[in-house]
Amino acid sequence: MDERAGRARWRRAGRSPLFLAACLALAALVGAGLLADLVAPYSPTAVDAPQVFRGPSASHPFGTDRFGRDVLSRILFGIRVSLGIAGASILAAVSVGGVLGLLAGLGRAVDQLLGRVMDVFFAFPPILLAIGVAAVLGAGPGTAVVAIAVVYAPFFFRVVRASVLAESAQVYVEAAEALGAGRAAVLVRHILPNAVSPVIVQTAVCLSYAILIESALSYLGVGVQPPAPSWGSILNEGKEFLALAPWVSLFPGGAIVLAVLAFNIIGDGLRDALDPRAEVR
Amino acid sequence: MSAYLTRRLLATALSLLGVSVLVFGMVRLVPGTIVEQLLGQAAMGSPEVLASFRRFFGLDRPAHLQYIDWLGAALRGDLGASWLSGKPVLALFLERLPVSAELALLAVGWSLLLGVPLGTASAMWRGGARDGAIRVGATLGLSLPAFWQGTVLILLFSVYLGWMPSLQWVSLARNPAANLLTMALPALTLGTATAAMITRMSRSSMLDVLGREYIRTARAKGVSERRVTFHHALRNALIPVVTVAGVQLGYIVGGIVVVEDVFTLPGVGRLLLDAIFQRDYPVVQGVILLLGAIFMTLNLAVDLLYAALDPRLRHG
Repeated sequence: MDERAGRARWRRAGRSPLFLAACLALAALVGAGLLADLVAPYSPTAVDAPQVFRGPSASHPFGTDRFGRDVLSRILFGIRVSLGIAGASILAAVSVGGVLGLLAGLGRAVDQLLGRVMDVFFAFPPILLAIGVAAVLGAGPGTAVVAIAVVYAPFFFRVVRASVLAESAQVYVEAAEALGAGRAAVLVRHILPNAVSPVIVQTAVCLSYAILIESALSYLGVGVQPPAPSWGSILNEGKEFLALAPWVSLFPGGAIVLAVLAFNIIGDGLRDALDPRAEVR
Repeated sequence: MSAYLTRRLLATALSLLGVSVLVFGMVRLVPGTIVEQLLGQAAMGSPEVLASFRRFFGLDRPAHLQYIDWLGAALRGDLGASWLSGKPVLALFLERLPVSAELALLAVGWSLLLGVPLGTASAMWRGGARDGAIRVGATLGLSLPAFWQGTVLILLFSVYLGWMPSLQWVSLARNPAANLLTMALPALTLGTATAAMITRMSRSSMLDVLGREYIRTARAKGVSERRVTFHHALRNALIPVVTVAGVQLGYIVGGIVVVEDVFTLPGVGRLLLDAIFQRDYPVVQGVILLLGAIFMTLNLAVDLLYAALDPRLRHG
């Protein structure tokens, strides 16, 4: 039943206009970020003194900031920084959390120990933990990656661990072990593939949170530092001149909402397609 | 219940201990030791000055002894003093706490007032256009960065409409009306994501309950649809919503830092950020520890509330 029901769920996700629109929006964002050198009308850091704080116009669709820099170009180059940091941090979180989650399947003692350590990280509100890490390491893009990875690795630990424990109770695992397969081999070859679906769903959701946290850190001034363009750091530079030049703050925020919304919708769609338990929703 | 209570209390105590180790270690991980950061280049040439400073801060002793002393003092309420003002960290924190607590309570309040009815309505209208609109709205609410939403609200209400010309914070005791006016936009901002999450959870929980046997029984008995919805279904559907509230508290406690920055409110979040920028590490350490402890205590309270509401959990 699984195979057919799974395909049916995929078809349903594929037919959902919202899901497709989110995928398209994300593809457009990633494409524009990769091709920023070609599509951006100006350099993201080129100062143009006579053009300071110009409102949106034909030559500067999103206006200019306090140094006369083109806001649209900064947002386009900011895609690399913001999505790059989100991607790198979640990749790190998946790797570290995933490996630890698998290790939890080695035995009860390891599971207990890792579980307690992860509980400590869950004891902090996510953004507070990220700010704490940033306070220690000092502001910068690398700091943002580490901070977000530290926040979300425990989430992936829990997801992988749950799959490992559920699958370990299955008859086929017992059979494999009876046939003489070692615990590590069983974990990697038989149990790991079952954790892939929940990890994919969790990745999409965590990417949306990662974008939010990176932009919040940079907005607060403990993430990416100006003049480097991240969506959050553009907003950070715009906040002093809100009444004078609202476009500097409004447009990058719109980019954040678009990216986060896309990942949220994709995450929901993937959950419906990959997780049969979510059928009721 | 008492076994469950003991287990939860022990787990919380253990996590708190871990949190204290992490927070203690955090400051010792700062690149270049704190003393060198404090003294700057001037001290680098003089090993004697450096050594006497390290002795003064107790940094010359083994780390585990430093930790035990620090923890002992922290348990007695002594979290050290600010390097800048010399005031005790705990006093600084408590001074700022009412602002943040008020903000958090207002945010939780409005998110429940909005989220539960919206989620319930969405479940009743399942599959319809109104259900679709509420679900899209909830996804949008989850995707709004608080700092940007706050920025847009300030622009709209203060700059363009001029309804709130002054965003200067006034204490609740001095002028309740003015205080609530200045807290309205921050609370709205802080509670948006939570309201969206509660809407989603109420909806799916309500749908789950409406499919149960006892609801069908109630309907078969001829109980009015209205009574089925509010008396039989909603009361049971709200129990799982309590668990989301626990997770959401994390976003509220953390979101305080961001929202206080946007609206320049003098709460504990502002205290933390200022301390980070001024490298006032005892304050950074103390505020993170206290916020972590508050969050864990609230989480524990939510878990216990959930156990009290759902007998299956405390016996399971």
